[in-house]
Amino acid sequence: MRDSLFSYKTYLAVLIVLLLAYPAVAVYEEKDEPFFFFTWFVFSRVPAPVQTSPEIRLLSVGGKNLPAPVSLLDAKGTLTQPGIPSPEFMRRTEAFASALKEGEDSSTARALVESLIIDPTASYELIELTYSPIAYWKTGAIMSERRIASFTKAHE
Amino acid sequence: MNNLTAYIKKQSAFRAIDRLSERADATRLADTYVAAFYYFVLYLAFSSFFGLHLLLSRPVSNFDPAAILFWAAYVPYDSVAVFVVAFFLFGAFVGALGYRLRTFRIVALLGILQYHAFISSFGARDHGWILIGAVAFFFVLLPALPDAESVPAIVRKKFLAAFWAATAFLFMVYMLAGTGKLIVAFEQLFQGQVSSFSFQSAALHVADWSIQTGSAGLLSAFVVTHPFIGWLGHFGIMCLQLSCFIVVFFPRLYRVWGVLLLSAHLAIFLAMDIAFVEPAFLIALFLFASPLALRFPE
Repeated sequence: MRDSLFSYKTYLAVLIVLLLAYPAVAVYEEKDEPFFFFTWFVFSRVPAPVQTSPEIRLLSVGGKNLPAPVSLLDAKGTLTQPGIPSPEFMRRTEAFASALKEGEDSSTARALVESLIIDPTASYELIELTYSPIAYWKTGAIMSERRIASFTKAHE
Repeated sequence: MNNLTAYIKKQSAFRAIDRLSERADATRLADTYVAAFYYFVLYLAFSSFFGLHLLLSRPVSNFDPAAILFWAAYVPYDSVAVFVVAFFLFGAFVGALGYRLRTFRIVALLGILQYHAFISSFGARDHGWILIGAVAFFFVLLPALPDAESVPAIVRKKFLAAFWAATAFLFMVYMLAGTGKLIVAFEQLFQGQVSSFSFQSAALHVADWSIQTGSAGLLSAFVVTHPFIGWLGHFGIMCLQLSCFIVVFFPRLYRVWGVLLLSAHLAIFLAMDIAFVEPAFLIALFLFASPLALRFPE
């Protein structure tokens, strides 16, 4: 491209159009978030003061029951596959819980959750917790919990 | 009012580009910063090369190539990792040595995009690299500048305009972040939910994020137990982000806003343990001593 092809005004207009194209694409494709295009809408939504959240708890590993159920996130780095960021744990847990709740085919979501667990024979349960984030953060207090289902790992 | 309008017009980035293109120093400085950017990319490429063994040890089952890595489906994972890093390093070298040639800048951009796509193919996108890719993209559009002194003024003008566009992209990221916060704040307010206007909002953000990630910043406890102070920071950051809509057009404000934006990143790290390293270099490069902030006669 020869630089003298464009007048300054045209050149500037092209730059501005390119600048504006980025948020336009990012917002339009927000749900899919294509590579490189991000809305940067981070921490826009304030979390609710009372929430329900699914949690995976490991019950047994290597054929032996654990002394107490261990949250998958708490087991990160010891009983889980390395190199996977924590938000990904939550994302897969939520996808699994949502599929079960909606009565959809949960096999893919289950496989993704189980791929986080190293031990091929582990058993685990899916719990729904109700809690206040601030109270839980301060004291670990849960308002209530409900066991949804328990599973033995079926996938490698 | 007329005086205010005239003053605003005199301080604007476009007027600065106009006037500063009449002489060479601003363009020469911008050209130096362009070189510095490619040297930074070389530093990043070295870091990625030295960390190649970590990429090779990642579970292949988690590798879901982004669209730009369409060829990765036909190649073993180890080969993909080695090629991406090697090409990134190659592109960074040619960019650093030959940044004045558009072809080399394009090669550097391709290396950056491939690497960014690769590290974003394990379930979570790496958003920091968007800034590097975007700057590299706008730098591809720079006009040829063999010598700032001898080229026609219009070439210097285009050079400064493209440099400003790269700067504007940085600001735009913050504009988007602030806009999202403002829109959702009103949405939550009208729905009767706790919104960013509530003094509890920062404490809820910090507690919820900490629970989700299992990590906490050095000041997470302080924010949760002192929600009003946390809210001042949270709301202040939103206002800072929104102010970028205006500041982007006024280079004389860039330095102060650069310090404020980096301070905000530090505060976010202390409160939420979220590290966003790429802005440190890019904000310093583009905002602390912008060529567009140089003085020119009225």
